[in-house]
Amino acid sequence: MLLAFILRRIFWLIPVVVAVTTITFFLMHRAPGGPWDREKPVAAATLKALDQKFGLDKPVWVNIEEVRARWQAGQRNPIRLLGAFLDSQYFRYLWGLVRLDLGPSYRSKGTESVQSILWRKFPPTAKVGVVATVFAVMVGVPLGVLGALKQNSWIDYVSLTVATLGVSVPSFIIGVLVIIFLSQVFGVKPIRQPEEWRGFSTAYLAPGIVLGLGTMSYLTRLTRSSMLEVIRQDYVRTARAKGLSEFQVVTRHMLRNALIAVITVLGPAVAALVTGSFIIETIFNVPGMGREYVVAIAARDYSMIMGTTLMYALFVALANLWVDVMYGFLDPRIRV
Amino acid sequence: MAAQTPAPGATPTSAAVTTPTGEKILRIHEYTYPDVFDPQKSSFSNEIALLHMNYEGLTRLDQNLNTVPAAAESWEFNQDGTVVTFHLRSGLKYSDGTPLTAERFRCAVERTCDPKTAGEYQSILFDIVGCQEFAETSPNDQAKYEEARQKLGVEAPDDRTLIVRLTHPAPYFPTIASLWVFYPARKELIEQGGENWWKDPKLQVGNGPFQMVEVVEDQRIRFVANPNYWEGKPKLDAVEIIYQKESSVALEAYKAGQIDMFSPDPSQLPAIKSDPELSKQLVTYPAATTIMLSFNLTKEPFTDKKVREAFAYAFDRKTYCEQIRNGDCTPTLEWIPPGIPGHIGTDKYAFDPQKAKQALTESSYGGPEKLPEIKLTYNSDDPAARPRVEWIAGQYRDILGVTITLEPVDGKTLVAMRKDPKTYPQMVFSGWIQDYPDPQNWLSVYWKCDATFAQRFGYCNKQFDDIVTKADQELDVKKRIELYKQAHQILIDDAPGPFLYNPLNIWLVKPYVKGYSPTPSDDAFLGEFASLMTLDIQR
Repeated sequence: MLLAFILRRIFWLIPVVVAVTTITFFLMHRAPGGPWDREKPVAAATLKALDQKFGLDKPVWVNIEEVRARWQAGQRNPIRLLGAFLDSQYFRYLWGLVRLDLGPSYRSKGTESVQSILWRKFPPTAKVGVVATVFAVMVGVPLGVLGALKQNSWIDYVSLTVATLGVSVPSFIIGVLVIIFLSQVFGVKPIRQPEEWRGFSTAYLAPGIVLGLGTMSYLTRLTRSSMLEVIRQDYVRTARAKGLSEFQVVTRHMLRNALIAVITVLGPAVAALVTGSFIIETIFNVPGMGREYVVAIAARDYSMIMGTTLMYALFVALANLWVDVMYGFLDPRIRV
Repeated sequence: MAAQTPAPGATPTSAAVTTPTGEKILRIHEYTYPDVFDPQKSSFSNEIALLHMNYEGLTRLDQNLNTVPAAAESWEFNQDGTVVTFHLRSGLKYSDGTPLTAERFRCAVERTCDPKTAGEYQSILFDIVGCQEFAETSPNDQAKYEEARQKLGVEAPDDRTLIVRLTHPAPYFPTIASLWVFYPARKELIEQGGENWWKDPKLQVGNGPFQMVEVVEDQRIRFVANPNYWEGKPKLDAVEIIYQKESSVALEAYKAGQIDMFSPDPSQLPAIKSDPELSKQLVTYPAATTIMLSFNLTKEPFTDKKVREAFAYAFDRKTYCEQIRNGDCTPTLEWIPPGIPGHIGTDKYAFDPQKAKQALTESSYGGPEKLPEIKLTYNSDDPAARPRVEWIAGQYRDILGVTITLEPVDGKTLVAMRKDPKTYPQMVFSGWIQDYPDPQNWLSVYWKCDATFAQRFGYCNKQFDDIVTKADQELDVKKRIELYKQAHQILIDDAPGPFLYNPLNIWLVKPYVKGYSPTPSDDAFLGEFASLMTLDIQR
C-alpha cells in the first residue's frame, strides 16, 4: 500500500520535471543577452563557431525553417520531417534529459558537462545542509517545547529573543561576524585550508550553523505555537489523569501531535538547506554548488541554470513525498 | 612566520619541479576563481594572471610597458611592415626540460585561429594573413578546413625562427606577441587531456617563470619556481593564489597573516586609511583603464555637441573620485590613461559650472526646459552603483537644471542593450581595460568608424579615422605616437561623453613583500607584469 503510493508519486515526478523544464527553459531564453555576451564583444566569426559548437544556432522552440528546407528539397517522409521539426534547442535538451545528459556548461566554454560539475560540487553543499538541518532540529524543537511548557517565563523570552534574532539578522552579517569572532578569539583562520572540505571536518560547523539559524528560529516558533495548541487538549488532561509521568505526556501525547506542523515545513526547508546558499558558500569559501545558481543566471549559462533548477525541483518534490509518508507514522488517522 | 609555512597537504604534482618546503611562498588573494585557464580560450584578467605566470609569449612588457624580448631575443619587420620575423633564444626549454621550438608558437597561433577552438580572443590575431578566414571556416567541411589551415600566414622554417605574415603593416604586432594567445601550450598534452586538459597541472607544462603544480577548484592554485626558465630561477620559491569572494573575510585573513597581498573593496578604504598599521601597507597607482559616461550619439539630445559639452563641463570628477568612490580612482579628462603612449594631459572640458550652463544655453535646446527626457542606465549587479548614479543625477539637476531618470538593469541585459544603437542607452558608464599598452588598442580598436564599439553608440569622425589609419601603419615610432596624439585630441574635442576617471590599483601588501615594480597594466596582483622575477619575501 505504502510502496504503491511511493511509486505512484515517483511516477508523477515525470510531468513535474517536464513542466519545470519547459517553464524555466522559455523564461531563461526570454532574458536578454546570451552566454557569449561580453563588455568586449567576441568577433562575429568566433560567435558563429561557438553557437554552432553548442547548438545555439538552432531555433529555441521548433525548427520550422529546417522542415521548409527539407520539404522544398523534396523530402516527404513524415518521420524525417518530424525529426527536422524537433531539431530545436528545447527538444534537444529534453532528449538529453532522457539520457541523463544535462549538456555542457557554457561558462566552462563547454569543457565540462553540467552533471559532472554538480556531481563534484554537491557533496560539500549537502554536508553544510546536513549540519544546518541537524542544528535547526536539535536546537529549534527543544527550544520551542521549553518555551511552550514554561510559557511567559524567562526561558520563553530567551527562546523568543533567539528566534527573532535568527530570522531577522541576515546571514551575510552573522556569517562575517562569526568568522571575525572565531579568528580573533580562537585564532581560527578566516580562510580554511582547501583540504578541510574533503571528508568531514570542523570547517563545516560554522557555515552549517549559520545556514541553519533561520530554519532553527522558524522551527522554534512553530513548535511553540503547535505545542500551545495541544497543551490544553482533552487527551492531554486524560493522559495526566491516568498518572503518566510528565515526560511521557510531553513526548508521546503532546510533541507527537505538535510535530505534524513541524514536519510539514521541514520537508521543503531541508530541500532548500541541502541544495545550498550562495551567501553562506561565498563567505565561508565552501566549494559547493550554491554559488552556481546565481553565477549561472548572471552568466546566462543556460544548461547550468536548467541543471540547478531541475535539481532543486527534484529535491523539493522528494522532500514533500517524505513529508507525506511521515504523516502516516505520526498520525494514523492520516492515510496515505 | 605564516608566509613560510607550507600549507599542509599541498603536494607538488609536476614530475619536473619539486617544491622545496619551508621556502619563500607569496600568497596572493583573488576574488573570483577563473572559468577556464586555457591560453587560447581565456579572456578574463583573473584567467590571464595565472597563464602569465605559467607561460611566456615571444615578447613581454617591462616596467615602463615597453615591449621587450622574452622567448624571442629579437625580431624585425620587412620593409613595408607586413612580415615580422621572430628569432627565438637558443636552448629554450619547458619547465620539464622539453626543448621549446618555434613550431610550438606556430601551433599556438594555429590553435587560436582554429574554428574548433573558437576562443573569445581569436580576433586579436586577425591581423595575421588567413586567421580570420580560418576562423570563419566550418569545421565540418574537412577539405575547406584543411585548406584554410594550410593558408594561415605563420611558419616556423627552423627551431628558432617564426615568420608571421600580416594583412597590413602593423608595427604594434610584437606587443600582441606577448599576449596569452601566443602562449605555447603543448599540443600533445592538450590532446591527451581532451577539453578538460587545462584543469590538470601535469598537462599545463609551461615556459614561464613559474610552473603550476596544484589546482584546487574554487580554493587555491599553487605555482613553484621554474628552474628551466631562460632568465634563471625567480626569487620566490612558490606562489599561491588563494580565492575568497567576500572582501570582509579576505581583510580578516590578511590581518590574520593568511595572505600577503589583497585588493580591498572601495568601501573598506576609509577604515583601512584610519588604521595606523594597515594604512602604511596600502599601495596605490592608476590602472590602464578609463571609465567615461558614454552617450548614444544617435539619440536626442546628445546628437547636439553643445549638450555634450555642457554635460562634460558639469561633471565634478574630483569630488566623485574622492568622496563618492572613497578615493579608488583619479580624475581624467581624456581617453588614453597616463603612462600609455598617446596620453596628452589635456584640461579641456574640466569641471566648470558656468561654462556648462552657457553651453546648454547655446545648444539648439536653448536651456534645460526644452530637453527631452534623459535616462541614465546603470548596471544594478553592483550594489554600490545606486548611490553613485544618484549623486550624478543630483549634480546635473543642481548645475544644469536637468532631470535625469535612473534606470537599473542587470549586467547581461545591459551588455545586450549596448549591442545596437537603437537600444544603446542615452547615457551609460562605459570604459576600456587595455589589452596591450599601445595607442592602437585604445584608439583604432574602439573609436574608428568601423569599430564594433564606435558603431554601437554612433561615433564616426572621418578625420580621426584617416589619422589613426595612418598611425596604425607608420613604422617610425615617434611619428606614429605624434599621429595618435593628434587623433586623440580630435576625439577629446568631439566630446563623445565626459571622460571621468582611471581606477586605482589598490593593494594591501605585507611589509616583508619586496621587489615589485607596479605597472598600469597590473590587474590581478601588484607586480603582475614586470616583477615576476624580482618579487621576494624578506624578513
